[in-house]
Amino acid sequence: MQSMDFLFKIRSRVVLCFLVLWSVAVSITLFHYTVSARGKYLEMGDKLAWKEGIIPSVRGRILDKNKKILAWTEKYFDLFLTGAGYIEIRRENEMMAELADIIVLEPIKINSKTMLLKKNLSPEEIILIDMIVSKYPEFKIIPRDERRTIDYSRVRSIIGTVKIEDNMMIGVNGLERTHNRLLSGSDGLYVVMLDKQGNWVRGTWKLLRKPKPGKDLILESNVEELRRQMP
Amino acid sequence: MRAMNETRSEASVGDLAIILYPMLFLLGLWGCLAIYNSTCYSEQPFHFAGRQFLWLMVGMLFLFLSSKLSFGFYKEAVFIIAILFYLPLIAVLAWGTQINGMNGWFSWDGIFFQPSEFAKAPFLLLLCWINSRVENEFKRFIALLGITAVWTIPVALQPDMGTSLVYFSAFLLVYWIGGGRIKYLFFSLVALVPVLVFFVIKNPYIFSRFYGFMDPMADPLGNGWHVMQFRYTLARGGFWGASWGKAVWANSYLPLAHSDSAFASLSESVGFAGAFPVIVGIMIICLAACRVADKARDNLRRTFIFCIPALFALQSLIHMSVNVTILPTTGITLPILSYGGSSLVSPMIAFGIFLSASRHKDY
Repeated sequence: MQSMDFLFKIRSRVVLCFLVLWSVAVSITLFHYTVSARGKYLEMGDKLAWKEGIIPSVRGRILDKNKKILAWTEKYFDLFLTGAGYIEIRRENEMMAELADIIVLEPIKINSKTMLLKKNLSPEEIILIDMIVSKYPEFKIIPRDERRTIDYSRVRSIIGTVKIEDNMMIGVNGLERTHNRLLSGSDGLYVVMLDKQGNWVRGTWKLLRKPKPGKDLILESNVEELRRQMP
Repeated sequence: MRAMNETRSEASVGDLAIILYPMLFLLGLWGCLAIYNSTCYSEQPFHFAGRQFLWLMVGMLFLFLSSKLSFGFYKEAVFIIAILFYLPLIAVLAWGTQINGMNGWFSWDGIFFQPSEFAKAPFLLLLCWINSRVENEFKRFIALLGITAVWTIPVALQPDMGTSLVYFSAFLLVYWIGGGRIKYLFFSLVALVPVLVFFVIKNPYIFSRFYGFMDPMADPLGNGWHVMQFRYTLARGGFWGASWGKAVWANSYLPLAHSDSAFASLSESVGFAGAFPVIVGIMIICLAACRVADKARDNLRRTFIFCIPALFALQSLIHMSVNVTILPTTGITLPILSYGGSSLVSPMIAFGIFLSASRHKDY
């Protein structure tokens, strides 16, 4: 019995030593990552998670001498399905069914991976589908700026058109091109943390630079005079 | 002299209960904090932490109740207890609910019950009982190994490899502490090799996990993803931890932040200063238990008193080692701290039986 007591004491001490040494190894490693090598891993993590984004400036309006608006910018929100064709069929059906229960979809295939599901979402629709978009990161709501002009074709040709390059609106011809710098303004910059699905992490958005809206261009003629200018 | 010994021993058992109750309660509270922080950006930030706090209260009640039953009762009813807790391990394979790819839970009206967690203490009690009863060395080894296989196979079939590992560790621990021969232990480990090889061939993801563990920087967005996320989470915690409710990394990147990654999640919330005491606390429980086990006269009681906290420490250290990336990723919870009633209440019951075994006139 005494030899058993002795054996128990020896073996229990061996197990205890093993556990203590193991816990020391865990503690040292914990200290290493939380204190010693913290800076290195923080930097690596930040590179992975924090993304910069551009807040496009609002392009200035074009007005006639009576302050009638001839060209202006409107913001729209479109719903896309990204990674189409790569999603498991069961999941895709489930996603689409959940969405179709809430809004009427008008799908248009953009390319092999992307499908436009609905153009010009209303604010009410955005609120309704917000939960589904967070649940399925394959759905993306993408904002889009659209340049609108007054509904006179002659005036339109004087005002000109714009194109969108790198999320920026650039005048291509007409007054939009001549006064592009005045109308453009400067873009803002933000930083945000993304989760592994690519969604924004709540409470992490920070503004780095405020966007400056473009200036309005006021013409020296009114609409009728502009119409007459054109042949 | 004997009277003096008795008084001293009763006092040490009393000390053990005084240490154990607040320590287990604090560990449970710490777990609630980690769970709140790892889910605070969800739609219902208090849902998981609130439920865990309720389970903590239930767990403390079970700790008290199971400690009040005499150890003689557990000793007499060991077979009935073992059968009662073994049958659900079989039943869950047929009627269980699948969560995270494991068929290991019974669900009833939103409450989940994991039989493999609750079976740990009865399994250990059965092993200790067999160890104390069978005199012949070889027969004892075979009996312990056979019982371990019978209990581990249904758990492995779920498949819950983390818990299977804990069951096998329990066998090693009991056999070693009970004075088993080293050559038999060695043979049992060798016999485990073909099982491991078969398991690795059947589950090729283990290779990628291993590569990811060996060199996570080589593929930080693929095989090394989990390992790197653990490191980033620990780094964000720093020495003092992130501000209250600002454990963004645990919320956004950690896999199963409130269960399998509970320690990393806790470290982000309370930093090294708050996570280190958890390690110390677990080791204090082990050391205190060892002192009490030394004084026990009969083999069953002594082995059980030592093995319960040792197994608790072992499972905790495996979980922590995975979370601090000194072991490859494996799904194993941190007892008492990880989210889940089963993972909280079952160790409380085990510690209750442990206290019951510690409280005895023999001392």
